[in-house]
Amino acid sequence: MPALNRQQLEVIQRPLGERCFLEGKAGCGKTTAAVERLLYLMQAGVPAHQILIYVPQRTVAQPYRQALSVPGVMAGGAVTILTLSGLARRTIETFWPLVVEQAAFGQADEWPVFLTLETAQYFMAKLVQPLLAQGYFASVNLHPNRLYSQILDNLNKAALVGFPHTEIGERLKEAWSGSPGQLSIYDDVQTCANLFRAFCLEHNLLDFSLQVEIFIRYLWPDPLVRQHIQSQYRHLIADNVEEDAPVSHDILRQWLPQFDSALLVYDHGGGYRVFLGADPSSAYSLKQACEVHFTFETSFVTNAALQRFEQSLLWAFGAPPPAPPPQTLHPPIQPLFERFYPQMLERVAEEVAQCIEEEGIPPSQIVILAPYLTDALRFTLADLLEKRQIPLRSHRPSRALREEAEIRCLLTFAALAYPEALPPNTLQEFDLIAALLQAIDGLDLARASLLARIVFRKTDGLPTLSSFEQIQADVQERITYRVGERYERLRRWLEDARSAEPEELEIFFVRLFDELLSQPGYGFYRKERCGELTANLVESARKFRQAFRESMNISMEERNREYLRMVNEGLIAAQYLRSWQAEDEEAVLISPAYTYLLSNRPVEVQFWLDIGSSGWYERLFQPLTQPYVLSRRWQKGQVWTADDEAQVAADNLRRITLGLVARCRQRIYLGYSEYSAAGYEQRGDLLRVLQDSLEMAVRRT
Amino acid sequence: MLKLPPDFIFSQASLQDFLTCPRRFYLRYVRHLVWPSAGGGEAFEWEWRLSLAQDFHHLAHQKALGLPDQLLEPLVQKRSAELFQWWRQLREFWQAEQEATLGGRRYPELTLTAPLGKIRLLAKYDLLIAHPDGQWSIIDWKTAQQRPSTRALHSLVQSRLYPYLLVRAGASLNAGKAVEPEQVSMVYWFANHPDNPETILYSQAQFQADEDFLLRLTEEILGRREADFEQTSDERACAYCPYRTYCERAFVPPSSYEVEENAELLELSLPQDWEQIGEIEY
Repeated sequence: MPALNRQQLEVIQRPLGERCFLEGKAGCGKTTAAVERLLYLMQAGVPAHQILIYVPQRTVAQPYRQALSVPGVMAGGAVTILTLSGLARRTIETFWPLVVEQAAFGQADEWPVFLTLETAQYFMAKLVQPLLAQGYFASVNLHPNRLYSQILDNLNKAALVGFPHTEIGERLKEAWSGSPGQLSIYDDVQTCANLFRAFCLEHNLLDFSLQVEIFIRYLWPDPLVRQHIQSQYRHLIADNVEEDAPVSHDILRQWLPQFDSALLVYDHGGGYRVFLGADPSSAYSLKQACEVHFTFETSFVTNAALQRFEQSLLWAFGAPPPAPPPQTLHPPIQPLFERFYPQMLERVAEEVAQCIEEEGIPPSQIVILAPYLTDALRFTLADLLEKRQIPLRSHRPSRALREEAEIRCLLTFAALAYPEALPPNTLQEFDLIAALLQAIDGLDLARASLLARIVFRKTDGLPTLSSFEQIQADVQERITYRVGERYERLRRWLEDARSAEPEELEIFFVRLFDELLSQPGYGFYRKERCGELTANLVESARKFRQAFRESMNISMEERNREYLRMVNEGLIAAQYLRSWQAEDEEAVLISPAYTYLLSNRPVEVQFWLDIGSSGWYERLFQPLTQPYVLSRRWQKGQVWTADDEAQVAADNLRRITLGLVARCRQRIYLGYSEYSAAGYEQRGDLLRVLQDSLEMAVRRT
Repeated sequence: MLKLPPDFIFSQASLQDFLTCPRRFYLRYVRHLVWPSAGGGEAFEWEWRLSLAQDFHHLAHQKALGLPDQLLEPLVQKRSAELFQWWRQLREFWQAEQEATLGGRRYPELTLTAPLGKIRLLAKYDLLIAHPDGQWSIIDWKTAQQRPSTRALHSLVQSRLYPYLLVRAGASLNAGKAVEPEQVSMVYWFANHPDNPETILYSQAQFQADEDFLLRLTEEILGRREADFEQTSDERACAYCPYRTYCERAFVPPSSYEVEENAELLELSLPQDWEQIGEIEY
């Protein structure tokens, strides 16, 4: 058991029959107390299968999962850990026959198909593309994939906030104060959202928004369902309620009186998932539904110097100036200021190495945070740290499948085996060069380019490969016969696949991996990362296949074409949680700041990169959606102004800086370069706030 | 000593994996190696059977929760003739055994967990029944085409772990009163052989033997060094293992006799999803 203070013990040992609301800033031991409360309940004889842990996302439940797996926990049932999404999906699966007709699904005698993010985007794309050709969204300069995802995002917001999806366009239009041209865009958004919803209903497809809506509108109010759920769980622990959506809070509000005990945990300064519907003020209103309230204030995480720095930051955000410190503290902030961006990254790598080698800080206790995590940044840092033999892992869940070189290699060979699958001239010589480099062991860029230049042919824009044997002897020699032999085996394999009966793509990928690429002499041989990436692609293709129903009347060839086209166009991959779970925990983490904050895991040392960038606090450019306007707090008839935008940026800045400081134990390094990676001068507000607060800290000492 | 993930709990699937092939256990649970499984053309047959098995478990769960048959039936009928046949058998079984095997307080899809030595064990039951006379029945739905022999069934880790855990953890369902081994029986019910279920009666002696067995087994696993997780010498076990190509093993198709004898064990050598029937959580 961890060392617990009096306040924590008071929460843990509350009698049954009470609903408690526990609040405080990050790092004050709230989750520790909630975990101990769970164990206390079990020790007090509460059957574990009657306890529900309710969280906004599954990663938040890790401390509970860990606590329940230790041998010391008594024997009994299993505690259930659920998110709103899990609760909705589980309930729909079980009680589907009760809603299939009521909700007007088109296939009354069929089971539902739950869509992944990928498949939802695919169907959205199918419906929207013909409209794009008709001039929809003509004035929007946005990659089609972002366009699809923002329409889906609107549907999700409607479901999570709890308004009809048919009001999306109207709400956005009402709040718009810019050029009138944008108003027709919102009409287009509404048309597409309606089309998508109708298509899903017709084919029993449930994207995330429809799952939530079916659960909230039909199942949760159903007496049989409600009785089943409420009799199953008698005790509730809901953590990080501020990161959950209003409909989730509505459910908790209705459910709370039925529980024999409840503990709700609220993080001050949270609400990082606003873009996913999080609503801290709605969460805070749950306090009124609880009889007992606790506030934790003392941090178990930050050292005294960082606490001082936090006070200076608060002052920079408008709070009264802090009192002078009783003693001089070693400054917890280390600036790494350089003129150019690459120099700044070099300094960061040096300091990381120093932390590990000279101070003995484990790599897992170091995070490198940036407003955005680009491929270039990830690659450069990985390279710099690899040179110093420091392992690095990254969190960037929305990475598209085709961004991985190994996956592009598999896709290139699929396009060669099924040349008609992609539009003519899609595949280019450089794709083949990149694929050959991945596929053939011992091949370098010069030889790969030479080989590709000779063998890559096109007939009517469709790609083919010619034989190594047709190449002139002296060039064969330059390429080497060993490479030639491997290439020839690969070419023949693709030729066989091309002339054989078409097969499901997932089988094609597995065979290509199994029979060729994972064999000695080829690039995937004994490479576990290649195995995992291939498995991800196979799973993605399988889920894609499973999303199609007979009622859609689509042939295998057509489906394969659609899949290749979709991946080629870079539709976002579904999250492969297993990659996260299996990651090397003993590595330095590089992550976008928000992703790190959501993982809720304090560390010894943080590096903030690019503190001059406005990306730390500015909203992403989202011309088709607006998380604040589509929130429950937004007043009907209100107009979104530049002041609102500035206020959001200021709130974000405050939330993110204080949130990060609260999750740091020892020290923060501030990485700044006068010129950004793109060569622009940087003078963002984060830089100003940090300068002000550091000056204040110096003045006070 | 072996380093398992901090939230790792031993289940019948992981223990059976170790017994079938220690290397598979190591790759799956220690290394978390994800590898494309080379199912070939048979993959679709397996996938189809897996989805039917999942549907059947789902139906049994819905029935146990009291969803009306007339709402479930059209969905089953459309899905597949085989599933419909299983469904009809299930309905008959339910009707006939309402007061006997199925009579009492029902716990569908219930998980029990208990510590043993340095680890925790977990079992997810298809259906657990507390009979009014104090007896307990564990019902496990099986959809294998062939009915495994009594010997094969008794050799499953599941046949030892499930009754054992009910005795260890059942008090939480029994108003704090311990469940005695003699009160427990386990019934394997076969959708394709509904007239030939397998009932295993539990006893104090078996409970003790199972505790020793599970303790020895888990201690052996924990005590191994990473290099000690050897590949199985029986290459037939690799036939449908997802790591077959990783281990550079050839595909050795099991004979039809073996398939009949070891249907259950073969299922356990399938990709992870197969083993997760009834163990999926969100």
